[in-house]
Formats: sequence, structure tokens, C-alpha cells
Amino acid sequence: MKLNTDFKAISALIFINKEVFLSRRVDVVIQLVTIAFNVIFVGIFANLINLNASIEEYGTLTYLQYLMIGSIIHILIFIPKGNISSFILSRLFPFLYNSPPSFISLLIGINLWQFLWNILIITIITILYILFFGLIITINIGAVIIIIFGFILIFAIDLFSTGFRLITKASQDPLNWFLGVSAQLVSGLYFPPEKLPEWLQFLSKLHPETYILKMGRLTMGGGYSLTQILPEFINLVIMTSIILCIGIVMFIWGFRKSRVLGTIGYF
Amino acid sequence: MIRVENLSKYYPPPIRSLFDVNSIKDILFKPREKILALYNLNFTIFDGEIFGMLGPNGAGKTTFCKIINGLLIPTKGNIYIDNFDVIREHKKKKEKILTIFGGDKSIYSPFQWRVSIYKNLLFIGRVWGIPSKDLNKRIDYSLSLLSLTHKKNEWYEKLSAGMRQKLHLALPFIIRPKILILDEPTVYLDIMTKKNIWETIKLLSHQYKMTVILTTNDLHEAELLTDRILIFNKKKIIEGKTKDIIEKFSLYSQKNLAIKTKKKISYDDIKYITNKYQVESVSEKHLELIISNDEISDLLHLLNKYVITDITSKPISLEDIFIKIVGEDNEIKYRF
Repeated sequence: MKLNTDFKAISALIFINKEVFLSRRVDVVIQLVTIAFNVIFVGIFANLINLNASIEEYGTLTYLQYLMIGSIIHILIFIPKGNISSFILSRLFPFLYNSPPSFISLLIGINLWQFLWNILIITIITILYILFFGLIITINIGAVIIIIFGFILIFAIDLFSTGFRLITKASQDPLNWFLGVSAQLVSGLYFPPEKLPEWLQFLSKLHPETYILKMGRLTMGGGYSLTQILPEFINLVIMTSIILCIGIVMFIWGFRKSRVLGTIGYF
Repeated sequence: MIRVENLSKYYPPPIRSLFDVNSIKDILFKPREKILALYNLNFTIFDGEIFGMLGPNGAGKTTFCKIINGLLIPTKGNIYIDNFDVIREHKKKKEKILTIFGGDKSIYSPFQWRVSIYKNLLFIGRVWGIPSKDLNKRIDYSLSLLSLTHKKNEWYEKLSAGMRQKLHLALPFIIRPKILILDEPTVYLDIMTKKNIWETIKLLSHQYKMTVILTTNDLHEAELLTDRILIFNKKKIIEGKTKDIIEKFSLYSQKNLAIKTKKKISYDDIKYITNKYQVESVSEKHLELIISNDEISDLLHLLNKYVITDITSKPISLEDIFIKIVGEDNEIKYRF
């Protein structure tokens, strides 16, 4: 019975988010056109670049492969970024919080439409690159597991960030902003981190996405299995587990604190 | 049954503005005041009744709504619904309570702006787990009651503010909660829409035996709808049956008098009367005031020299009572 309520709530949330999303028809068209242009320009641009770096170390043979696999992983693992805080701080939250479904199912439901849409977009992009630019990727269980762990890691950071925003009632999201910007600069999304100045390479080593991208490229590009990258994978699991625990504690603390302060809700 | 026991809420002190700080000593040692929102409230709401919560702005009506909705933790005390603790057993009460907000708070409603009314209601019904076969019937029924059937396929954003507010009353017909909390449901609405909403609230209460908690500043609304009321201003001032409270004040203690005189009342006497009694309106030959029974003879004695031509006693309204008791209570400072 309870499971049925949760399932119904998830499907209702997908339904309403789809309706809201598709009500902005111009936005949807612009998004699709932008994707088409991006595919064309990035594809041509990546084919023209001859990077003076050993991208073979990452299991990728061409810069296109390096760039595209990195982008796919980046988009997939960053799907949860900002989602929890935008839900908790949204006008819909107090109503849903007092509705029968569980908190977890509401959290899943509120994000699932965006998740499915992003998966659809990334699949279309990947197929276009494979068809028109000769992109080669390997989808094995290792790649899927690494993306899942990367996803959980970003989710955990978002939990932490939500806890912070609930307490401070900050309209800005400094942690996620820093994570997003730094990911593009130092994690090796567009070029190998070895090409960075030494002091930035230090930051690169601290950034969790550096390792996720490297392992993702090795598995998706080079076809490596998890056992071949086991030490790095274990580091990722440990790091994700620790950040997840910290994120959950921060979120619970922040949520409780905001209930004491009266900073959630709408009355 | 809802039991509110010793409910108090102090908000933590606000962060001090840098402009208010004169020295480091201020920051370190100057105590900051907690803000009192509710103080030791005790009352009971019975099943199936319409219970009014009346208080001036800042009395704590919203704070109470936040607490019963689980969005705010009280400093002290509990709210029990059928013997389970709302604050500590939040999950249990989820299916029982529905809260609807009026006025500027309705911008936080669950309705999505760019989605049709029908789809919005479908979404809300599904979240609450209403079976599909009943859901459409309930939506149609609620929209027809509220005269909104013709707007069924229009986007929520296309409705007027009054219609949006009215539409929120479709939710209890669809969800059918045990307890319905209406926070200022008719604020800013015109009288026709208000009357329509009042009828709908009565219907909800009678048809589904819902317990309705109505917070309002509209005393006429409270007088018309509620079975019992609580008048409070952070702490309880008076609680009881609405009719009893009105009767008690009008029969035993107060009258609302309108007096006409033949001669002009002197300036000094007008000043004296205005200072001594709760005067509603005054002119040279006409006086309207609320007065306690034991003061009437003194007043008539004073006015006798101006030749009284007419005295009428109007029934005292809840509004008169509210002004009197809340006005008196406003003298108390609630900052700790």
C-alpha cells in the first residue's frame, strides 16, 4: 500500500514536471537547436585540434573521443547538482512535505523527469557523434558503476550544500557554483590536467571529478574493466562514502535547524 | 480531536545589524532578545467543528499553522491529533491534514502556473493517492461547485486572483482530509467571492464532517462560520462557543449604544466621554459607543441635560468584542 502511494507520487511528479517543461515550447525548441549546433561545432572543432598531450593515457585515441566521453560523464554525474536545494526551497515543498508519500520518493519523483530528459539528450548527442564524427565508445558495467558513484558523489555534495542553504537561507549556492566552475577548469574536462600550471595541478588532484573523468575515459574509451583500475576505484568508493555521510549529517542538521528557525515553509 | 498543550514558540534572536553595533563589547556581551511568537497556548478542537482562530497581525496564527504542518518545531509543548504527537510523529498525520493559504501566501500553492487546472488537480490527487476512477469524478464535482468548470482546461496563470484563491477550495473536495486548515482563505477577495467561499466551507464541514480550523482577521467571517473560536495574541485571551462569547459580552457586560440628543453636546463632555468610553463615532448630537452595563446610568445622567431623543442598542458583534479585548491586551509587551 505504502509502496503503491510512493510509486503513484513519483509518476505524478514526472507527469507534472513534464507538463511544466513542455509548456515552455520555445525553450524546448531552443534547447534542441542549441544541441544540434553544439554537436556540429564541437565535432568540427575537436577534429581540427591536435593536442600536444598524451591523451592515450586516458584510454582515448583522439581528442574528439577525449572531449566527448568527458562531456558525457560530466553531464551525467552533474544531473543532481542543485536539485535538492531547489526542491526544498521551492514553493511546492511545504505542500508535498505534508502529503502521504515518503520524503525519498518525493525527492526521486521531483528530479526524475529532468534525469530522464537529460539521459535522452545525452543519448541523442552520443548517437550523433557516433554517426557523423566516428566517435567510438565502450559501454561496459565498469563505466556504468563509475558514473553511478560519480552521481552519488555530486548528490552528496548537493545534500551538504542544501543543509548550508537551509540554515543561512542563502539565495546563492556557493559550493555547487565552485564545484561547477572548478570542474570545468581543473578536472580535465576539456584538456588533460597535466597541461595545467603546477599550482593548478595541485587543485586538480584535490578535485573529485578529475578521478571520475579519468576512470570514466579509461572504461568508456579504452574498454578497461574495474579490476584494471581497482586502486583508483576503491579511492572513489571511499571518498563517495565519506562525503555522502557528511552530506547526510549536514542535511539533517540543516533541515532540523531550519525547522527551529522557521526558515522553511511559506507562511 | 486536536489537543494543543502548553504550546510556546520563541524565535531565536535575529542577527544584529552591523549598524546597531557600537563596540566589540556589544557583540560579545550585549544580550540579544528572543522573540516570542506563542506563549503557553492550551485549547482543544473537537471533531467535525469549524474552529476559528482570531488574533491581530503578529498574534501567532501563522506560527501555529507552521507548527501543525511540521515545518516549525515549537520551543515547548505539543499538539496531539487523536492522541498522537504531531511534532514527533509527523509521518502519521500526513494523510489527515490539508492546509490552504490565502492572500499573499497563496503564491506558495501547489498549483503550477503554466499547467491547466485539470492537470494540476490530477497531479495533486495522484500525489495524495486518490484512486484514478474516483479522481475524475471528484475533480468535476469540485469544479462545478466552485463554478469553475468552464475554466477546466485553462492554465492556472490565466485565472484571476480571486478565481485562483477559490480554486484552492477544490483541494479538500478531492483529497477529503480529516482536518482542513484554512489560513485567511478570503483575504483580499470581493464580497461575492467571499460569500461563495463561505458557502463552500460550510458545505465541506457538513458533507464530509471535516474538522475545519479557520484563521482569519475577518470577524464577520468568523461569526458566520465558526462553531467555536479562540481569540489570542501570542497567548490565549478567550476560547469558547462563538455564540456564547457574543452573548456573554452583549448580555452581561457590554452594550453597543447609539444615542441622539436634542441639544448640542459640549466640547468638554465629548472629550470626557471619548476618554472614558470606547467611542465608535461622535458628533454634536449623536454618539455611538460600546459601554459596560454598570456604566450606562452614569452616561445617561451626564447626557440628560442635552435632552436625549433616541437610544438604540445594537447587538454587539464579534468585531466589537475583538477590538475591546485585543485592544486591552496590546498593552502587554511580549519581548523577552
